[in-house]
Order: sequence, then structure tokens, then C-alpha cells
Amino acid sequence: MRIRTGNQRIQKTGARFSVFPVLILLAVFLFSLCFKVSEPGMIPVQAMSNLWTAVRLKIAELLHQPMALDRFEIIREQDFYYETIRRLKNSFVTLLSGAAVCAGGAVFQTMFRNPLASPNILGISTGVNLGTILFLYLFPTTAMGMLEQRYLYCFISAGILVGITMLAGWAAGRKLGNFSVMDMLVVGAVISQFGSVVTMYLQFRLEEIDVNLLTSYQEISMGIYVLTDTKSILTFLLLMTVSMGPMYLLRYRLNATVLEDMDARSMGVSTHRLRTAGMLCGAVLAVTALVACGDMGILSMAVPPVVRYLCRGADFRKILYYSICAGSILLLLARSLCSMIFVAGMALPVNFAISVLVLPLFVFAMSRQRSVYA
Amino acid sequence: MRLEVSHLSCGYGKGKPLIKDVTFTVGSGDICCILGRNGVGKSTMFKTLLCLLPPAGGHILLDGEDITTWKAEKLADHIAYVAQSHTPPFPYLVEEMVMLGRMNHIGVFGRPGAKDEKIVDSLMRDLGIDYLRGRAYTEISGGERQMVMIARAMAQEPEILILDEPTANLDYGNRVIVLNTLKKLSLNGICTIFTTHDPEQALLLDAQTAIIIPGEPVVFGPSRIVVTEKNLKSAYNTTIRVVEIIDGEGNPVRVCLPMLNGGIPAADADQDIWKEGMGEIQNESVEQ
Repeated sequence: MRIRTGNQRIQKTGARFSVFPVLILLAVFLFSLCFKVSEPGMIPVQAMSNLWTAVRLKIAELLHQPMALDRFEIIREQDFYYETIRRLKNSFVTLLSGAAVCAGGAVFQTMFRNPLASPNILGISTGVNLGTILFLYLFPTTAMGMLEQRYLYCFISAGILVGITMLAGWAAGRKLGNFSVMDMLVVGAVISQFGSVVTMYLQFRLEEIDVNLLTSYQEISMGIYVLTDTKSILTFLLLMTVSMGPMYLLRYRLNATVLEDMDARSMGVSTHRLRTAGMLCGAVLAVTALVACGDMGILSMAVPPVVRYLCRGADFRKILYYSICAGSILLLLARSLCSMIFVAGMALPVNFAISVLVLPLFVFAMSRQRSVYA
Repeated sequence: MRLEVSHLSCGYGKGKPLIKDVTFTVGSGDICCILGRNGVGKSTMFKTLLCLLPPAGGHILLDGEDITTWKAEKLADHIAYVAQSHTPPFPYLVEEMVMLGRMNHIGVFGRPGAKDEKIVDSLMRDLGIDYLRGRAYTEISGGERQMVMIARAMAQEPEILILDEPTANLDYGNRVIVLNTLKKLSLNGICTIFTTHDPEQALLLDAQTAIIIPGEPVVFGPSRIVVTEKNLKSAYNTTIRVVEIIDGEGNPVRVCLPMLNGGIPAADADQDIWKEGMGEIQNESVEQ
């Protein structure tokens, strides 16, 4: 076929991105810095002023300028300086966690060609919960201060469950030269059930050792507890970069995994390699986010289908971008709302607020696209 | 471009090959139709031609080069494939779906550029599917999907297009649209190889035809020579009449008629109704 590439008016076919979600994200981020019912509120100008002071002090410290010597004097003049910095860290980790969880969901749904796939599907959420509770059970007195070990336990536990699931998928699909998605889903469901039973047993044992440990576990898994110390944030950033980097680079290529393997291979794309890379990156991303912000599996399952419905089309670049924005906005909003609502003296669980915010949208989007997914 | 398939045997693993000793040669602008009953190995042969399965014997040469040694990326620059039917799990827009065909021209870490957009735009207009722009691929009809799949394959800018039963599950009108598209591609120099369960399509397109008969060498040649009652009987194990009719312009055209048990109703059985119908048609044309 002769393909004309002359000076015709070309209609754009590529993905177009709106800055609108980023603006909303910035507004919600500022809101989360300024308002918290249990603590004094501050006006956005005050929050911005505090952040600017923090930046100036950091630069002065690095450049050994005299301003660094007057650090405490300057901070004393600022209202709510330490609150702003604490909330900044909290909101920053929350923002990144929301982005990571939803990016992981978008990747898994594309890899599995399934709009309901989420980190739960390979046993990732179960693995993280199991790792956390096992860690608390083995190190009851020092657990909360041992960050690297907690990450390690969660990664090993999730890695074992994901490894078994992927091996089963590979063994079932080796004749086809690719993963058998259906077998992986079945094995993933069985493994997750098994992991949940062990987690429940350990919860029971944890209560016997120290009821406060059980409360800590519940706070972690419900998303109330967030890691905000510098080491946690740096570890989180490192792991996120390692897993998001390849996914960002492969963001257009990953579209090929939704095609039949024969179609994709005839287009010169090895879906086997792409799926392996996508699943590994998605798994690291999901574990990192779940360790930092608790069990937010519902966010990763519900946001990408809603995004697909709202932005028309399914180009992975678009879905990744809007899912990241939507995930960050929703998690920040949910966390801010939860800090305002207390039930029996405790903050509302974040994953509960997430469910209330997201599930109606998810059900609406799925029902409107029933003909597609049927 | 010249694709030579010589003494090709195809099959899975080390077992007995499904098809043995296939030999044919096709060139630019040729249309090659492959006929054979279900399970005879047509799809296996396609997988072998696409180098997704290693040949159990023989050679596949493209312009004298053995394509079985080529990398998938290089092969994709020359041969494109259209599956029988495929519905992606997500509502990709039609233009997004066509753009996926540019994957072999976009690097591993790349993304479509202005040139790719121009090519997709041009293809959609040439194939008459521009009106589908902005619609979800999952919401269009079967015939439209097939056209989109052909556009996606053509976006690879191949020399050879392989189509697995492109008219399966399509209504009569859509079949004609797809066949006309194949003819158009052929006129543009694309070599088209397709399978079908309708031998008439080989006659309509005047295609080079390969008839796969189990246990016998593949019959290959121009459709007007190899699409015979004897070969069709051997291929499908049923009686099919090949009859010649005169088209509206006075040219002889061959059509295939399968014979049902007890024969087909004689033309004079409903002579009056038939004449009545023909009369109505004639009256309509006179009025027009």
C-alpha cells in the first residue's frame, strides 16, 4: 500500500496529556499540608512560607552560609514550622504511595489483560501482610525501628508467593512459549488464601504476646501508620526509581502485551520478556508502596478502570499518567479525611475511606463498560 | 520481492508433521489463497511462515534469504499478520490500535512520532476507516474490526500480509469489503496470503491457490485450474459443484455450490414465486 506522507492535515493519534490532574494534585497536596483537625490548621500562605524557609535553610547548610547559624532563631519566627515539615513528609510519602499503588495496578491489569487484576492477584498484598506480621512476631520489641529488616521480610515473603505463582504460570504455559495467565490467576488465588490463613494465625499469636503489637500491625495494614523518617523516604524513593524507571521507558511498548502473543510476535515484540519485566517492576513497586502506606489493593484495582472510562482509550502511556495522578489525589484526600474523622478515639482506617471514595466510581465505570468487559 | 517455500513440512515438536512437502512461490502483488478442512494445518503453516514454529523440514526463502534465521524485528519489517479475530480486554481507540502496528519501527523505549501519525492517518483514509477515528475498537462491528486489523498490519509497512480467515464470522457485505481491500492491496504491490473456508473467494480474486489435502501433496496453482470439483471433494470430503455462470456484463464466472443430502431444491420448484420476484426487480429497474 502506498502510504502518503505529504503535507496533508494530520489528525493527532498519539496520547495527549492534560495538566489539569497535576494542578488538582498540587491543590490537594497543599490542602493536606494545611488542614488536620486534630492539630492546629494554617493558611496555605503560612505553609508555603514554612516550606520556603526549609529550602533556604537547607541550601544555607549545604553552602555553609551564615544563615545556617541562625537556624533556630529563624524557625522560632515561623508559625507551625515543625508541623509543616512533618506533614510535608507524610503527604509526600502518601502522594508517592498512591502513585506507586495505582501504577502497579495499571501494569498488572495490562500484563494480565484483566481489568480486575491488582497486586492481590499474584499474592503480593498477602505477601506484604505476611512479611509484616512475621517480622512483628519474630522481633516484638524492636520491630518498629528496624526499617530495612521490615522491607526485607516483606520482599522475601512477597517474592516467595509471587515466585511460586509465576513458576506455575510458566510451567503451565511453557508449551506456548509464554506465561499461562489463567493458570497464574488460579495459583495466585490459592497462594493468597493460604497466606491469609497463616497471617490470621499469626495475628492470633501476636495478641497473646502483646496486644499493642497487634494494634501496630492493624495500623500498618489499614494505612494509618506511615513511614516518614528520612531513611524510610530515601529507601522508598530508591525502590520506586528502580521499579518505575523501566516501566516509564517501556510505557508504549507495554501496550503490545494486551495483544494475542502471535499478533505481538509477528510485530517483532517479545511479549514473554515484556511480561517478565512488567511483572517484576510492578511487584517491586507494589511491595514498596504497600510497606510504606498499608494495604491499598483496592486503589490499584479500581483506579485504572475508572481512568480508562474517563479518558477514552487504553494507551498504556495515558493510563499510567492518569492513574498515577488519580492514585496520588485519592490517597492524599483519603488520608486527610481520615485525620479529620475519629471513631472510638481512633482515626478512621485509610483503606476504608479509599473504598468509600473509589468503589462507587469503579462500579459506575464497570457498569458503563459492561459491553467491553463482558 | 519473492517468497519461495520449498518442500516445507510443518508441525509441533518432534512428532509427525501436520503438513508435508509444501512448495510454492509468490511475488509482489500476488494473492495466495490456502484452502483445506479444519485441523488440516493451515494455521500451523502460518505459524511456520511467521517463524513462530521451526519448520520440520524444507526452506522458506525471501529474496533468497532464509527467513528462519532472522530476528523477529527484521521479520516484522517484511511480513505482517492478521489474526482471525481478537478483542483486546481494554477499550483501545481505533487509531491507537492501528498505531500499535508501528511498534516495529519505534524503538524498544520509543514512542510514536509525527511520521508514525502521518502514516496511520494516511492508512486509515486509504482503507476507508477514517470515520472510525475516536471510537473504541471494542464498540465497532466485526467487519470494521477486521479492517482495523488490516490497517494495523499495514502500518508495519510489510511486503507480505498473512491473514488467517479474514472473512470468518463476517456478513456478506463485510466479506465483500474485505475481499475488495485484499484486491486493492494486491494492486499496490502487497503480496497477500490468506486462508478461507470459501473456495469461491479464491475464484473471485483469481488467486494462486494451495489446496491442502490430508495425506497428499499440496495442490498449488491458479484458482481457475486447481479449484476443481475433484480437488474440493478430496479437500473437504464432500461434493461441491463448480459451475460457470454469466455475470451482468456477459463474462463467465465460476461459483462453487455445495451439494446437500438429497440435492438442492430444483429451480422450477418455486418457479412462480421466483418469476414474481424477478418481475418485481425488473419493474423496479424500469421505474428507476
